[in-house]
Amino acid sequence: MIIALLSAALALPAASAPYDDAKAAYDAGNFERASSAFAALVAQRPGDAALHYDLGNALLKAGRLGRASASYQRAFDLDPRDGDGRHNLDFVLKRSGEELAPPGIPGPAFAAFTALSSRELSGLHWLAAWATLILAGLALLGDARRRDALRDWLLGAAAAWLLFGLWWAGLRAALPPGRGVIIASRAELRNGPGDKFTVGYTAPEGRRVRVLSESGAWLEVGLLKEGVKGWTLSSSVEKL
Amino acid sequence: MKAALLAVCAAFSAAAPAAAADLSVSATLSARSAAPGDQLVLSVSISGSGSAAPKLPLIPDVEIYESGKSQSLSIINGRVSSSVLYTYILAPRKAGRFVVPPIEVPGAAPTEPIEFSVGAAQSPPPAAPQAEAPAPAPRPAGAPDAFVTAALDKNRALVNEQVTLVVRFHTAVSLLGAPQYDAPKLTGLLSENLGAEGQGTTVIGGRTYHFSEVKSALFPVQAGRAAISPAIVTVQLPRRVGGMGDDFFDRFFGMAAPESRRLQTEPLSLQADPLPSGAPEDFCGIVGSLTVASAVDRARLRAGEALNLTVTVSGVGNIKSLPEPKRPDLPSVRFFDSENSVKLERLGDKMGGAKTFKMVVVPRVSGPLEIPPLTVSYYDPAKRAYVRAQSKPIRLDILPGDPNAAPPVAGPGAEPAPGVTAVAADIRYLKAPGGRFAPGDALAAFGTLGPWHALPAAFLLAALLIDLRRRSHAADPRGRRARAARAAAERRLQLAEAQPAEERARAVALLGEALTGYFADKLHQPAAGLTLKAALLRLQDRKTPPPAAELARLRSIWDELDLLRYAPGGAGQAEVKRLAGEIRALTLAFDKELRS
Repeated sequence: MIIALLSAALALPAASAPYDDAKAAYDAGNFERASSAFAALVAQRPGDAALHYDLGNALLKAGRLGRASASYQRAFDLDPRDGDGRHNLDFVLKRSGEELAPPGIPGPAFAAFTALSSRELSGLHWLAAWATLILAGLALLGDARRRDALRDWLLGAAAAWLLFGLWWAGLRAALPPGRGVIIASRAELRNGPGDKFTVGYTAPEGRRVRVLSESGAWLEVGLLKEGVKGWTLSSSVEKL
Repeated sequence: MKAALLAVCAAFSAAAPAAAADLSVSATLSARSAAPGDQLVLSVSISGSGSAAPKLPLIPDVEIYESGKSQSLSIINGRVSSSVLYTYILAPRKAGRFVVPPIEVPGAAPTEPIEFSVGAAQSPPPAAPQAEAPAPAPRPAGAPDAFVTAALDKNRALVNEQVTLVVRFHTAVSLLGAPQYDAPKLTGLLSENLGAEGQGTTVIGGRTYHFSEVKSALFPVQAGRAAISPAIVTVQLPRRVGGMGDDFFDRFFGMAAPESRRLQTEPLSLQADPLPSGAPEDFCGIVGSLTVASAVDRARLRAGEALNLTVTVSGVGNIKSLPEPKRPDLPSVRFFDSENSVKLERLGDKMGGAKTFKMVVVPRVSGPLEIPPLTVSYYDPAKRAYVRAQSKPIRLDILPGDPNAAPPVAGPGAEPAPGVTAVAADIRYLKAPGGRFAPGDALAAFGTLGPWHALPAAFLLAALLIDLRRRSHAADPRGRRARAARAAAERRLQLAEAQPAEERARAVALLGEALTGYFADKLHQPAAGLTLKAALLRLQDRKTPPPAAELARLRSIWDELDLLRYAPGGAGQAEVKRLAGEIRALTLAFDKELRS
């Protein structure tokens, strides 16, 4: 099965005619058209980090900082080891008052922590789980001699299962589901879901938020950096 | 004579630039330690020929205000030299140790750094004995041709309260050449020139004098005794010739023999008292009277757009040292510094003016917005109380912001590598999709198998059950022997049936072993010593004994096997197969009977 999956990964189509068209529009400075073309490609292949990255570039050049930040974030989630993706995501985050590495955490430490994506860690976690369970079953079925032979392998697999499990859980805590990005120029965060509530804060475009709840056309969002929350129009936020 | 007086006035008030020549610069600080809230006076003296202004460096956590400058000018043998004294107020914002960095003046060596400290509150120095009355301007005895006097309008004042110093030059004769004036050196005082005035004529001791005077506003910077050194005027007087009067001939002859004379005032002192306690939080340090006004350049704008807010504080007092009024605490508004300007005015004998603070205001939220009054508190010496001045509130109408407005662009971040100069930061170029091997995709796909992840758990569960069964068997050898009895008997039966015709005795023996072995295993008895009688007894002793018919079949087969085992010739192959079948059926029947 793993071989089949690897084969499928290798069989991904390379640059195509629609991509060439999008790239030509980008190179010609027609960023609106490039954005539409890259968005169509992303809809066809949502698991391609490079397409999200390219869409982020086109959106940023078209002046849509928030949507660009969302695209870069998706690219980062899919392929966190891509240096270009990290650079561009950090670039847009700085323009909205944030940085890729949380404050107080050295850059190399954050880079090591996010070297594997959440889905890669999920795969490694399950792979180690499979190995651990199968080796344990074989050890149970075998005699004492076989159990001795399998013991080191079993311990190694169990340690890997624990390591990748904790790593995966930590990454999900740092990058939890239900995230979003402010796409309005300056989103007003109110004390309740409606215009009649006062504005408590404003959030700049591109700022990452966590979507806490939803009520009609309003979303309750929390600002990850400042630790504050408020209600804003759902049209002001793009969910990741 | 009149021309000479005008020259004195010009020398007093003008700051004539000097020709380029050697310069020297020195700096002194009024004190090396101060209490929190106190102000220090930094005096920078530039002497020599030339014109240059000091470049005062920034001092962290210290507010620096220019307080003014005074200049003395001399022309000797056609060479112009001047001494300019620049005065600054240093207002530390916190306690600690500070250093005034070297002060640079083009063409001169920088000054040495000056350390000073701001510590715990100091008690004011003991007050010197108070003068009973303002000291009258001393005047030399007799009736000299020229003399100079200095006087204060009062000898006691509050910190930062204005005291007026009047320096008056008298002369009863015509001067030869321009006089040279050296202003008094001040310790613990800030000075603002009120300008030359008061030219006139007076009669002193029966002699007529023409006089010209200079008034200065002095402000004590800290409590204690402040000193004013003598003011000096150097003049060229006509030398008197015996018997000659002050007529045309005297002047004619006297001009040929000028006499240089150095005139100076008596030193003065001023007692500065601390301000009364209970100063409000927004007290600005001014002793006098103030008004505050604020204005904006527009009252209707979009969120995110900027407007200019101008705050003007005007009145009487040491306006130069006025700090910016405290900005209102408005979380929905962002303030940016713009510029300040000071316009000083002479209001009679009082120094005053206006200080204007301009700032950029950016509302961040739409809706009505009111900028509350800006307040400044000062000490009014007439009322002997702290008074608060405030502006009127300003109402603004903030419209929703422009959704297409772009946020400010961040500058280059990381330090450039050697040899590389960062010009601007930008994103990196496009990236072709699917062009490289992505092992993470296979891993990610493996992580999304969903229910298939139960497979290894199921395998482990099965292995666990098998292991448990195996362990339970190992723990019950009697039961395991009983459960394996029929299988063992079957193997022997098949072996017996497979025997060739010439091995009929062997076949019969195997049939016997199959039967006796089966019951030995079932009854947990050694097969070697098991007899038919013993087997039947054991079977009948069970809680539920087998039916009698089955026991009879057993006895019949057992007896027939005994007969064949000891009969000559044994049994034929067909008989072996029949017996094997009967034994097989019998063991099958007993397997059901002996299960419980």
